[in-house]
Amino acid sequence: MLELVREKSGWTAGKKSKLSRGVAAYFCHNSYAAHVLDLSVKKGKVTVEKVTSALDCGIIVNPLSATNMVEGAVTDGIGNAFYGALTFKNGQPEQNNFDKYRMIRIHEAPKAIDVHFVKNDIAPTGLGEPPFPPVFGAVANALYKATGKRSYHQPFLSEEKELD
Amino acid sequence: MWTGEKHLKTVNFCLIDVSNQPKERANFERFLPQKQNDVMAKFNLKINGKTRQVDVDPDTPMLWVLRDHLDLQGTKYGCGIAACGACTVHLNGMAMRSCVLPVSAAENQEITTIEGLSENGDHPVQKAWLEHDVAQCGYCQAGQIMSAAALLKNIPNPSDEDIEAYMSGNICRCGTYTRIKAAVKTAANS
Ligand code: FES
Ligand code: FES
Repeated sequence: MLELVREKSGWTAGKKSKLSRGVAAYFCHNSYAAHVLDLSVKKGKVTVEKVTSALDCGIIVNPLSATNMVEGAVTDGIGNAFYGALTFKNGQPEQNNFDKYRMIRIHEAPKAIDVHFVKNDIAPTGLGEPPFPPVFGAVANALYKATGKRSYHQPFLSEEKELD
Repeated sequence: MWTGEKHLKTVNFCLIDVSNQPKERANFERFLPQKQNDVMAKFNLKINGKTRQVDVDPDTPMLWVLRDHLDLQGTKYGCGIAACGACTVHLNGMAMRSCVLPVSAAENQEITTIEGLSENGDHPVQKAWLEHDVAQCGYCQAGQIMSAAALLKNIPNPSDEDIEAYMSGNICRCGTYTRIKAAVKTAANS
């Protein structure tokens, strides 16, 4: 699966790219998932230009929907990694509606998501959740590439704390 | 008091049977609909080309009039504060958040909901949505489609920036944004 995402993202050829690239892989629900994520930072504004994803989750029954679920995991994962602050006070969430909890919106979504599946004859395994967690790692690694700083605590960006 | 609020309060207090306890009962009754104090009024509404009459509090948001009084549940509730776009309808052809539109402000204006966007579900935006298989859970999609249809009415050939600017008021928890963008372009070209 990592080989697939390396090939499809042009990992070896992409060295001269101006974009900052991060990779992460993950295993859960009996499936393997990996992403290569390219982002740019201009004047403190982070834009995810492209995400290349590979998944090994057995036989794909409905390719259009399967691809959609990976795209959704990537988009929502980026939103969570960048903005998803959730804090509690006296046992209650402080963010109780969308004016306080920042969800990713269409202008912040990746410009392109390229999804690939490892072909095999294994009975279908997890598809909805496995591509979600590795997005955080890929985002953090790409941010490290761009800024030289490690991000360990999500949310990585916030209104007060944009990147320099 | 709008229907949803009434409902919540009633539900909260129905958990304890207070019918035989005068003090608690008085407390409970404060939250029951008070017919004599509620200012109900009749409103004539033009919805999806038909005239409908409702008898509601003038402050009731259009969203709850549609969902609770007119049985049009295609329009969804997401936030109630104009922050998510799930409740988008057209008011005289313009995209409007129905959760913050009081029924009194909508009288005699043309309202279109997802049910009335096209007769057979064949509006160019709906066709493009099917072609791209945009929806996942679908909760946000009625709002997304209504926003996209209004966008194309204003800007028939939108750029990426136009789509992003116009559609950024609609949240999709499932992350279908890349497909929404592609589908809006397909609809624009058809
Ligand atoms: S319910 Fe109206 S914008 Fe969220
Ligand atoms: S399709 Fe699920 S919220 Fe948009």
